[in-house]
Amino acid sequence: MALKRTAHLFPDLALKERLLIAAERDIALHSLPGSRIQRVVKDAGSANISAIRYHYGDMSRLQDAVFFYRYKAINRYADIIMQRWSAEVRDQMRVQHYVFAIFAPRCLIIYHTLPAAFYCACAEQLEILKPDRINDQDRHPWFAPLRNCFAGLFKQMSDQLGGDRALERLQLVAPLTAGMLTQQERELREAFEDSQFTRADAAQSLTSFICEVVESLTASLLREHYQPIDTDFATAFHDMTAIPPEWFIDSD
Amino acid sequence: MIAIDDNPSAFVAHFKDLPIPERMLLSIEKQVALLGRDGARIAGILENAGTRNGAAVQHYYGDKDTLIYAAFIYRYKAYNDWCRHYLELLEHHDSATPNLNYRVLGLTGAWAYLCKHSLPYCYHAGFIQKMGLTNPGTSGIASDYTWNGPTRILLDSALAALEAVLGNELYTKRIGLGALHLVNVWAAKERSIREALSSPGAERQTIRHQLDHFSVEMTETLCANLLREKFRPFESSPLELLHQTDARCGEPVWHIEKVNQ
Repeated sequence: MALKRTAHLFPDLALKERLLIAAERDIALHSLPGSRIQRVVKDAGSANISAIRYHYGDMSRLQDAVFFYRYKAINRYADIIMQRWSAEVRDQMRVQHYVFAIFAPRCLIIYHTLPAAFYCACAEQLEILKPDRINDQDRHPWFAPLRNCFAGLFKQMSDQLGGDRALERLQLVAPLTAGMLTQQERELREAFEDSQFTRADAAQSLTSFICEVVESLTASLLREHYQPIDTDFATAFHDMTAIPPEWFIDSD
Repeated sequence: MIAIDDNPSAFVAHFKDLPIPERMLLSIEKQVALLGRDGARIAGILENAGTRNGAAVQHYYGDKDTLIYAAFIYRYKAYNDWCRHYLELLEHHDSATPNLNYRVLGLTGAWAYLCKHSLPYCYHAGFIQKMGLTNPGTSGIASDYTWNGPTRILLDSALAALEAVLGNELYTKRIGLGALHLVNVWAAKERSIREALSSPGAERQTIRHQLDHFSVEMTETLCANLLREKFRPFESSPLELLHQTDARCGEPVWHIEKVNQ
């Protein structure tokens, strides 16, 4: 059974927000060059493409807003996770803890947006095409947590590998990760077409996914220096699923 | 936008001596890699192939899907040729490094070979990525061709080596996780190569060397991803083996399907 239109899934949201959700979905399914304004507007439940001009100015401003829409929630999750680690593991932080803080928020976005989960696929399209966006993010004060996680990860890796190799390996592994997340998101979306599949099943599936991702990515990044650790990432992720996300709608 | 991606007339000029059917294969490969299957339009395909004949796709290939299939086969024969030479050399290669590393290196080295020989217009990995043909070896869609086989032998023996180390349960759990997305890493590398070649002063020879190094890096990334604490790096540099295979293989022979002419 095909997923309902955005307008039908979110009738209570304002058109301005539904346009973001519809654009995210269209870019996720058709890629950035393949996305079409007419389809986005129709999916959001408007008859008229001037809705985009009215709310966002143009298509590229809309794309920026799509990018930021989930980003505040991701940063907040990253912040909460880092607070947990600073209480639990203190100065025993390992690469795994940072990898978890960076990728668990994306898994939580999948969890909270199912069955209309398109964030990871959309981000894969937008982030790879526009690496300069990282500078753009500085204008929002809430962006710091994720940036701190990346800085911490890089420092951990540099201490073991040296800065050049740390950077080389991060660049190598980044596209691998994007693909893994997008695939997991798609599989859960498809699983939701079966009415037997519940939100609890999705939580369980994402929990085992993030535990695997943390170890396999850390192994890819550290290779010969890799050692498994016994932090309970499953419980940490499960606790996080109870915290609702906060979306961000750009209004400037 | 990357300069060489956004310049159809330079693309046409680069391939002007090739016959139209081959230019169409190169054109669709580029268009699909950049825009995806949905985004690749006939007008753009014709423009990059350097023809104004709107019926050319139909005339030579019948339809867009057949053209896409032919673009895959075009590179896949050369990929197989490289794997065949690599397998022959590997038989006489003595090493204490685990079997898996060398099997995976063959599959990444073959991609680097295709990339080296299509500079600066390297779009093959992007094409495979956008078409969802995760790994050329797994698709089996080329099984009708007598030249197909070496890639499958290499892939099957890599999978067998992996299962031998991990056992069946872990093997099944891990194989679907990171390995499937290796093509994304290739596609990102292709993109950065095109970006580098768009700026003045970029040396193709330097990029060819980088690609060999990258094949080794990619191999270790994937093997560590799959094996984790059981991973062991290459004990000695395998670059010589890649160079020998390139030398034996020489210039690639691209495969062009017989088309209506």
